[in-house]
Amino acid sequence: MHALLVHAFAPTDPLGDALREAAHRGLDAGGHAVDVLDLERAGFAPVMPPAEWSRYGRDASDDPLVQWSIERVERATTLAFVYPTRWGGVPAVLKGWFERVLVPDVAFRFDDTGRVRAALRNVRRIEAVATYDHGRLASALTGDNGRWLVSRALRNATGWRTRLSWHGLHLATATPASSARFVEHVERALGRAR
Amino acid sequence: MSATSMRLRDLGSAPVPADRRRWHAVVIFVHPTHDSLAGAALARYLRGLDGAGASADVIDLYREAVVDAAWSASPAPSPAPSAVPAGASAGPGRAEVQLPVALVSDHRRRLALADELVLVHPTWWSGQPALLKLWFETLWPPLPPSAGALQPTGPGLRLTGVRRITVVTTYGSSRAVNTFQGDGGARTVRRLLRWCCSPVTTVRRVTCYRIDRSDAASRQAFLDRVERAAERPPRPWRLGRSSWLAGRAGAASASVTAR
Repeated sequence: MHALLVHAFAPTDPLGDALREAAHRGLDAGGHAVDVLDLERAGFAPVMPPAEWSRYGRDASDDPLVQWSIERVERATTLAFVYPTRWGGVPAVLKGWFERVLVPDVAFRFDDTGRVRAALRNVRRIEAVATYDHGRLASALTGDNGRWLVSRALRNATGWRTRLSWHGLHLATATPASSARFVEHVERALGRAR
Repeated sequence: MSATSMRLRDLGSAPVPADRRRWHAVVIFVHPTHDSLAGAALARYLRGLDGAGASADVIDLYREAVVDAAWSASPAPSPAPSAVPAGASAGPGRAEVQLPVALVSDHRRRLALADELVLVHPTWWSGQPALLKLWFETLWPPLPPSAGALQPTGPGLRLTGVRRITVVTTYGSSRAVNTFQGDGGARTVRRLLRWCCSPVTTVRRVTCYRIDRSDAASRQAFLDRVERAAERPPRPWRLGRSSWLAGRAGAASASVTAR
């Protein structure tokens, strides 16, 4: 089993590092071969360059990080995302990863009528670990675009048999103790992912 | 409450440019090339504004932030693929992925003059392109979680002069698919960007769905809708500038007396 862990916290955020390590340990313990992509530390450029847009497709990018990600995504059985919610959704750097890596012939194909068909059938499970800056009420009022994106748009590309687990931490109401419990919970939950 | 009423008293206090015509629109264009449906929509929107006697200031984010700037979209020293399992061992790294400060502070100044804020962009992965999200995140950085307020974004800029937000956007797939996927881009503007303006700012969207499979006629119809939308002036909301109620009354009477 292969897992790709995509991490989108700023390098300065200790909670982000703790969550990444917990997720990594959990997936490891569950028997996955884990690849970790720490977007900000690796210097992933979120903006699709014009040349890449004009060739939009599997071989459009000569960015080594994009090529690396495409190889890993295509053989992953589990995708894990660890990110802070920004502007009600995934942060720009992770949105850019979606746009540049999950392109036609990697994530989806167009059939004869031009309809989108899933191409990531190898992914059987998606694990998402998200933090929210606000409490539950404020998060509900602003909406959770990250969850829509991962649970609907991404599963449109993996097929609907892919299972999804969501792990959220609301920072406005979290205490140091509850954050620590959440980190342990993430490790245990991702250890069970199959 | 006092903070809110302070903000309300500030309504319309943005400095007025000397050359302002009927109203002033700041247009944010986010697409790698003008040779696209979004590019054509931008041209038609600007033509509509001009025909209606409005002035426009275009911020071409791709050109300003990617093509012209030293800040580059291509990864500068990204590690070789073999080195990538990037974790704790990957060195200090950058602080945050952000747009340059000089660029964004110039945009702040230009945005302060806006009566209308226009976003012209394609919808990718059911939301704004990463560059536009990056721009939002740089202009309105996140609050520390301890603040715990309902305010969804940072304390930053409040565009109190903006009376209307117009989104002109294109979708690859159909409206049904996008509704099923949550249409996060629409939610971001209706719930979050509106909070960064004033409580009476309105939002409207001019959309073209299914461009992966559309024909020339439906694209033409979309572009015509774009131009017609641009010609409609944002509703004036005030008699005096002192309060929200007066603003509503102003809007009502102005629509009766018509201009």
